[in-house]
Amino acid sequence: MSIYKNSKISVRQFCILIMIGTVGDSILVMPTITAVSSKQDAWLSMLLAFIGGLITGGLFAAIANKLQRVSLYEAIRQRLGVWFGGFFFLLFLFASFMCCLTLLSEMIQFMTTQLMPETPVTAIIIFFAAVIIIAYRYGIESYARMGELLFPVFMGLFVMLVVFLLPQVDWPNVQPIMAKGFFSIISGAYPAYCTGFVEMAVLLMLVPYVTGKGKLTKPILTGFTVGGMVLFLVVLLSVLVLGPSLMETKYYPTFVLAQKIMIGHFFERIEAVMAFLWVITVFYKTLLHFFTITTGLAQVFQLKESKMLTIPLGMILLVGTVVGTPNIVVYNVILIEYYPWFDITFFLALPIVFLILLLAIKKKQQKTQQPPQQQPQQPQQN
Amino acid sequence: MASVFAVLALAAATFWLEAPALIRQKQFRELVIFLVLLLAGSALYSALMLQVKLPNPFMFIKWMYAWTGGTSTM
Amino acid sequence: MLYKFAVSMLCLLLLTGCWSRRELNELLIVLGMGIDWEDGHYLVSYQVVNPSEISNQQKRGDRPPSTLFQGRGRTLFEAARSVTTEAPRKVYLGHLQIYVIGEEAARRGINELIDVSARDNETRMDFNIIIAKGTKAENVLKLYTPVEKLPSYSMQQSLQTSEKNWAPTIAVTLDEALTNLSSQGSELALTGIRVIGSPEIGETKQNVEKFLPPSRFRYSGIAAFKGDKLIGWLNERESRGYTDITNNLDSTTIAIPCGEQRYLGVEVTSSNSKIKTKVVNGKPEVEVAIRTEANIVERSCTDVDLSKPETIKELEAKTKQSVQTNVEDAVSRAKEMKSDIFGFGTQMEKDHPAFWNQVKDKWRDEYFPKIKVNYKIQIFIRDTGTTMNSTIK
Repeated sequence: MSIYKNSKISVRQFCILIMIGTVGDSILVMPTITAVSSKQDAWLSMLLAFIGGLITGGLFAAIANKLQRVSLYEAIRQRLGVWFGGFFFLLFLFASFMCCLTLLSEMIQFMTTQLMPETPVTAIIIFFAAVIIIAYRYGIESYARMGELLFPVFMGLFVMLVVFLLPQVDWPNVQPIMAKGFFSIISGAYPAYCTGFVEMAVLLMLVPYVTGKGKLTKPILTGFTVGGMVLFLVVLLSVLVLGPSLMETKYYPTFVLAQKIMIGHFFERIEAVMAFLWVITVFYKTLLHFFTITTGLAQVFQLKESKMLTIPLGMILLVGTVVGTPNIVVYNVILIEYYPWFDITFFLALPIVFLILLLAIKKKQQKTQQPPQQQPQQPQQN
Repeated sequence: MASVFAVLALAAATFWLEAPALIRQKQFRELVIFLVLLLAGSALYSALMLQVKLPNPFMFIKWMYAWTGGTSTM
Repeated sequence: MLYKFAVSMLCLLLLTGCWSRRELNELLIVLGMGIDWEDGHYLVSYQVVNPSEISNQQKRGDRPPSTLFQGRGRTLFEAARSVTTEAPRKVYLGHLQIYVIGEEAARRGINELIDVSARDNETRMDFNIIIAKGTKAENVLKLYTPVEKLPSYSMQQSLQTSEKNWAPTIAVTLDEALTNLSSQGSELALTGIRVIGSPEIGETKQNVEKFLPPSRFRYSGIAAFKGDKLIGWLNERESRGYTDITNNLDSTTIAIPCGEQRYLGVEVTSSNSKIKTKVVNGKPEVEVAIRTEANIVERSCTDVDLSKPETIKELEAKTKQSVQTNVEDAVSRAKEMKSDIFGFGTQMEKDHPAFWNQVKDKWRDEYFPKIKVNYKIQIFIRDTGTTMNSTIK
C-alpha cells in the first residue's frame, strides 16, 4: 500500500537526494573522528571508507533492482508474511529512528556550539522539526524538486570553499604517510564508513517512487560517488590546511576551514554563509530518515494516510533528542564507540538478509501467484 | 506546569487539525494509530517538561553493544 | 483568505531576529587583549574601541580612541566576566587582533591561555600572539600610537610588515601556535614587544602631540619556549637566523663591512630555505639549504667597484658569511636552551618516522642539543639598483 501512489520522482532527483544524503552530517564531524584515530592519514581513512561505501552502494543497488518499484515492506511481506515481515521491518524503522536522533543531536550541537550559544535546545529542535514536518507533508515530489534546485547552490558553495582554500594548502601536512600503521587507518575509516554510507540504506524506501522501470544501479552509485568525493575532499582539505593537531582539537573543522577563507583581505568572514552548506545536507538526510519512519509505520500498519503521524512523531523525536544528549561528551563517546556497530547490524546486515530473502524466496512468490490464475478458468471448463 | 499545558494545547491542536479528516473518511485504523502516537508523544513531552528522568535511548545502544568494548579497543 | 492572512501574520513573527542576537551597540569590540600574572591570579586587559572617537562623521571629543578595561580572576573566563562590573557591555572577541602575554605569565606557562582561546566560539584563529618583554602586557596596551588611531591595529600591522621586511620578527597566529605546542618535534617561538620611553607619558595624549613620541613600542627579539613555558630570548642576529631557517624570511637587509666603520647595504629580495634530515649511524643530522636572492642598495665604500663581476662574487661570499654566522648563532643558542624552535624534530618525523618513534621522548634534551647541522647557503646578487658605480668622487 504505497502512500502517494501517484507521486513520482525522476531518476535524477533520486540521484541528487542520495548525493546530499550521503554528505549529510558527515561533513561536519568526520574530519575530527577520522583524525582522532589516524591523525595525518585521515584522508586515507576517508578513502577507505569511500571504497567500502561504493561496495555497499552496489549492495543497495542490487536490492533496489530486485524490488522493481515495489516498496520494501511489500516485498518482505510477500515473502515472510505479515508478522515476521513486520518484525524485521520494524527493526529497520527503529534504526532509522535512532539515526534521526543522532542527526538532530548533531544539528543542535553545532548550532549551540558555534552560532547561537544561548539559544535553548528545544527551540532549535522545534524550528528544525517544523520545517521537516512541513516538507514531508508537501510530499516527496516537492522536496525532491527542492533538492534539485538546491543542488547547484550546494555544489557552488562547496567549490567556492575548496578553491578559496587552495592558497592556504600546506602539502607537508600529510607527511609522514602511513606512519601509524594500517590499523589506525581502519579504525578511523570505520565510523566514517558507517555514518556516511551505511546509513543511506534508507534510500530503499525511495525506490517505489522513482519513475521508469529501469535499473537503479547508475543513480545510486553516482550518488554515492559524488557524496563520497565531497567528503574525501573535505577531509583532505582539513588535513592540508589545518594540519592534524588542529583537526583533532576543534569539533567542527569544516567551520574552521570556512573561517580561514581570506582572499585579499576583503573576502573574509563568510563562514555563516558556508554554514548554509551543511544545513542543507543535514536537513535532507534528516528528511530522508523521517520519511522512512513515517511512511514505514504507515505501511506496517496498513494505513492509507501517513501525514497525520508526523506531528506526534516529531514530538517523540524532540523528547528523544533532548534526553539522549545530556552533554556533548556522552554523545560523542556513543557515536564513536558503539554507534557504528548499531549501523552495521541494522543498516547493513539487515539489508543483506533482505537481499537473500528477495533472491531465495523468489520462487515461492511465483508459485502462490499461479493457482489464483487457474481457478477462474476452472468453472468455465466445467 | 504552564509548559505542560502548552504541550497539551499542542496535542489538542494536532488532534483538531488531523482527526476530523480521518473521521470523515471513516479511517478508524489510522485514527487509532494516530491517537496512540499522539498520546505517547504528549506523555513523553510532558514528562520532559516536568523534568522526569527519562531513559536515554543511546544508553540502550550502549547496553546492546557493550560486549564489543567499543571501536577504540577493536 | 483568512488562512492566508493568518499564515502571513505568523511569518512576520520570524522576522523579529534570532534568539541570541547581539546588536552592534551591545558589543564591546575588543581589539587587543593582554594577560598578566599578578599575585596568584590573572589580570586581563582588554583594549576596546571607542567607536565615536574613530568615526569620521561624529565630532571628535577628547576621549582616547580606545579604552582599557581590566578584570581579575583565577581563570581567564572569570577575569573576562568580571570586566562587566566596570564595562557597560559584554566583550566581543570576534575582532581580536593582537594578544599580548606578559613575560611573567609566559614563564609560568601559556597552555591555558591558548586552550581558552581555541575553545571559545567567538574568537577566530587569525590574531597574532606576542610577548611583552620586560614589561607588563597592560603597559603595552596603554600606548597612544601615532599615525594609526587604534594601537592594536598599529601593532598588528607593524608585526606583519616587519615580518615581511625586516626579519627578526614573526607573526604567529593562534592556529600556528596550537600546532607548534601540540607537536613534540618543534617548540613555540613568539616575537617580543618592548615599550621604549616612559609609559607614563605614553598613556596620555601628549605622546602624540610631539614630533617624536616619547613613548613608543618596538618589536625586538624572539622568545623561545620549552613546552609552554618561556625560557629565553634570542637577540637580533639570532632571531634573523631563526627566521631564515624556518623559511619565514621574505625581505631584509644585510650590512657588509667594507672598510673602517663603513658598510655596504645588501637587500634580500627573496629567501627560501629547506630543511632536510638524515640519520647517519643512528645519529640525526640536519642539512639546512638556504637560497637567497639579493640586491645591492647602498654603496658607501668608493673602492668597491660594482662594474666588475669579481666584486659581485666577493660580495656574495661576504653576504654568505654574514648569513651563515646568523644561522649558526641561532642554532647554537637554541641548543644551549635545549629548545628545538626550528622544527627539526617535526621534519625528522616526516622524513624518518621509524627513527622518530624511537627518539621522540628524548629529542628535546638529548638528541637536539647534539645534532649536527650542515649549511648549504647560496646567495645570488642580481641587481645593483638603478646605478652601477656612482660618479661621485
